[in-house]
Amino acid sequence: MTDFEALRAAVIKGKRNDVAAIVQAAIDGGEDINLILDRGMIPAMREIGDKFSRNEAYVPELLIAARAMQAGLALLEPLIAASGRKSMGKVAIGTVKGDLHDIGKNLVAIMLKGAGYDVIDLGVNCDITKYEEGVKQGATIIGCSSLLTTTMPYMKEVVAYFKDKGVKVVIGGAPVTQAYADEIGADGYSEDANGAVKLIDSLLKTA
Amino acid sequence: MQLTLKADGRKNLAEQLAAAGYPLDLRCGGNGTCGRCRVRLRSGEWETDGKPVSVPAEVNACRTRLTGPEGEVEIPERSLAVRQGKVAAAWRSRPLPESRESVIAVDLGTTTVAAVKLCNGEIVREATCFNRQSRFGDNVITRINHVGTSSGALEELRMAAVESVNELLDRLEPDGAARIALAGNTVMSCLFHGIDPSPIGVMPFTPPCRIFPVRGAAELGLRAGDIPVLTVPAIAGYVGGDLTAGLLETPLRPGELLVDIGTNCEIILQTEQGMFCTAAAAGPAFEGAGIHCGSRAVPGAIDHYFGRNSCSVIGGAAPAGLCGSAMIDFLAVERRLGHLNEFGRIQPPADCFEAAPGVTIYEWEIEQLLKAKAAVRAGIATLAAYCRTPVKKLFLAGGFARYLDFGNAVACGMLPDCELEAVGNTSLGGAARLAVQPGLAAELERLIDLPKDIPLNLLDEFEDNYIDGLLLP
Repeated sequence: MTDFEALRAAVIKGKRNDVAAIVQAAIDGGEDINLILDRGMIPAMREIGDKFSRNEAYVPELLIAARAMQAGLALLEPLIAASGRKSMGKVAIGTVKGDLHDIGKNLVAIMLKGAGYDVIDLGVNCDITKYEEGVKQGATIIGCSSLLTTTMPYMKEVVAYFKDKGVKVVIGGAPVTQAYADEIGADGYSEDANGAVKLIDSLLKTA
Repeated sequence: MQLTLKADGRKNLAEQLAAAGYPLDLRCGGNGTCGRCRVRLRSGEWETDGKPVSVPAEVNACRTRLTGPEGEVEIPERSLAVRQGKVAAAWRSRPLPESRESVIAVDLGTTTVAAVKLCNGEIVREATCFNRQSRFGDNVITRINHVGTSSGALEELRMAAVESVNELLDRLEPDGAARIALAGNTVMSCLFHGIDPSPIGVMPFTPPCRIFPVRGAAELGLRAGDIPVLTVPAIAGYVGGDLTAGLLETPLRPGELLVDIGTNCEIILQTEQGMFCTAAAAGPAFEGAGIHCGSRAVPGAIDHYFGRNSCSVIGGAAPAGLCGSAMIDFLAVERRLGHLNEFGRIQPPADCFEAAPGVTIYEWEIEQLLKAKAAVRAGIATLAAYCRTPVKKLFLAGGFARYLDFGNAVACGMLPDCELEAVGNTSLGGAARLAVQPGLAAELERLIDLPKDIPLNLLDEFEDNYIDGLLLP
């Protein structure tokens, strides 16, 4: 039997070796992949995200928990497809053209995976063609990240390109604001990684 | 100090105080964004950003106006403009060659500009001021952005840099100087020469220019007669002439690094195979930006922190804020005492921590400090690991390092446990050497080709090291 409580606690405390060990033991023991996700990983990531929203956790705790989460997900991902798990939705996410800062983008990607979404990580320096590849792979939402005010304007081009193409574009990153998102007509904005999960939740429910 | 002011037409409070002999720190150019000119309104009728303020209140003087006939204001020492620059002008002394010529060296920093006049290898005068470009943004990226806003913006930035240098030249009395040499980061050097730095703002961050021509002072608009102006060449987009100058002053042996901790942490590492460099975005937290109780090294600032209500204060006065060095002390000391956990959370749980009477630090501010120190640590660790070179010694350039308690910097996980030496403002030091020995230009042009620029964010280990670096050991 898998100790889901121990798994949940290990993710929240950011103990990546413990997370990997528990997940590996669960897989080896023939545990249902869905249970590992639904009773261990996903509630843990939701919990740390909610703590963050309530100012009970800060970026260091969030990043360390996300890294531990990733250690478990890396073991699970090859098995998820085979398990026939129903996807909650597919998001393609990348840092915009001209920018290579990706710690924030990676955090959002893990938080979304931790919330049960399929995430296509397009990496850094993404031009419109790169984002389009994500759409071709089935993404219905595109996430653009930027850390530099010099690269932020590219988001406007991405938003304009995907307008009326049945794909939603959401944006975020240190210099990005709700006002900027409104100005360029983006479909959504979040100021932090947990807000990004809530944003995707709301966009896919209304879709 | 406290002051009573009378209504004076259209002047804002900062302008009135300057006229009364109390110029404030207006590094953002009076935009109300840097929060450095905060003063306390004691009595009278006032408005800030056009809205009435009820006294007593703490306000940004640059956005505040007296609307009644008379009002009382209290000005904290830390809000005053800096007039002396002893710290910024000091560097580890490798003697300059004696020369009968009088010359001028300038360190054109993003925030602060420092200059010295030298004669016979000795500093005879020194001066510091804020970079007047600050009104267009507090970091190099926002300055680059400003260039794109209008056709005249590049010239506007160039003139702001020139006027900053002119302010110092006026105080140094440049008459009779043989030449000027200037060092700065790559964006500053480009803007000083009127070269559009935009390519540095986007990948692959290539500088439009690394070697700058010798120009005439008059042609540039400098008030120093018609003498030549030399600029220290730049290594890469984010490793500029300030570091080239540092390399000139601090020759490195394998395993040794030159590190300049500022908004950008610039790092050069010498290995057996050659030299490598990189930059990590540390943010302005150690300079006090975004930290409510942050302060510059002025009277009233805590420079060393030993524990709650135990600290040394510059000028011996009552503590009014924390310097960058004291912030590092705070992290190390309170972690050791168990008042902070490994995530930087206050123990027992609380929103904030009173370090000294009236000097309170909040948890979200501790988070900013952790991010800043993590970037420094991750930059050094990632570069050293990439080069497979164990770190033997760090030379720390810049004003921040001069006050730093190395034991605490290591204990809080910012610096690796190795030999550490503060070398001061080697940007100004290298510029001074070039000013005395203009023939060194060729040597500098050779130096800039030695380091290979490594983009940290493209190395997987960087994120891992950064996350580890966020913790307090």
